[in-house]
Amino acid sequence: MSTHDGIERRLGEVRLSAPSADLRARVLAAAAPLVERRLTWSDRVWFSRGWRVAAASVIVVLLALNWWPPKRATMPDAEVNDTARATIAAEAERLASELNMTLEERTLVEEELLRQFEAQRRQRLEPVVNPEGGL
Amino acid sequence: MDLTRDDRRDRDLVRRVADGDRDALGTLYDLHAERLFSHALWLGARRADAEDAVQAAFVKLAGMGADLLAIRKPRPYLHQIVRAAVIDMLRKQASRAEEPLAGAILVNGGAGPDEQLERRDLVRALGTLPVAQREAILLHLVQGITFREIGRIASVSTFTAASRYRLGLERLRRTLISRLSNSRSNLA
Repeated sequence: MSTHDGIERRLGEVRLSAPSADLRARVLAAAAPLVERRLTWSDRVWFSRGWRVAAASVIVVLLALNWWPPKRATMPDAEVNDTARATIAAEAERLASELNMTLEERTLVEEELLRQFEAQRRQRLEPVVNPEGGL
Repeated sequence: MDLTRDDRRDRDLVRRVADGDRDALGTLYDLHAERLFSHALWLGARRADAEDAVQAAFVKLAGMGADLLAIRKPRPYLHQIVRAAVIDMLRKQASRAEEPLAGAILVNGGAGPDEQLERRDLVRALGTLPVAQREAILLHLVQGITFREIGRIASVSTFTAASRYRLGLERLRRTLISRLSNSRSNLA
């Protein structure tokens, strides 16, 4: 058994020693009381891949609206609004179905996304005020 | 990223724990406690300390709440906690188990007397290895953990974990050869 293969084979045959029989009860007595139902829907959303994809999609939409002045200039304001709102609603719907959200949770997510969109939009439309008086 | 079936099963159990399911914690214990306990022993902990380290791992897991959802691979995570707990205990005690690996490995009972002796030699030789090399060998060979996961557990690169494994095996081989030649010359 001087070869690596021989040593590996022998080691593969060894058995592990087990902890004492009462350890399970001791561990669960100490750990189980710490287990509580503390998850909120926002935890689920935050740690879900669906949420990250949805957030990325919304960011892409927002960036697109900001970065393409020709389109922005030619697209009527209401149409921009409708497009963004439709995208947000679709993402919220997809997220809600992936995470089995209730209607209320889904509405909250959509409202939050819309709030973010409106904030971005306001920021973009507000004129930059020059402290010396001009725009 | 590469999630095995066992990883997915463990992740689901951890999610259930996060959702308040205590039975899921018991299932996780049944699946991993023995391996975690062995890992602690291989690092040089005494049996009682190894059990405390296992308990510490599950207590920590149970108290994490929503943060549990961020764990993609629970098994290496549990090993990490046990490892940190054992290292901490060894530092505080400034002493290790009197004989490394005492009680950590049971020699398989099915073989003949010669093979039994050979395996006992092997276990003794394992005890002479540096802890990091012994850990890499036993986690990989006995527990079937990949080098990538061993790297994660020991906070080193995959390459370093694999190197520790290879160097450990080489050293083990040399130790066994010298033991063999010693016993032959004693017989002669």
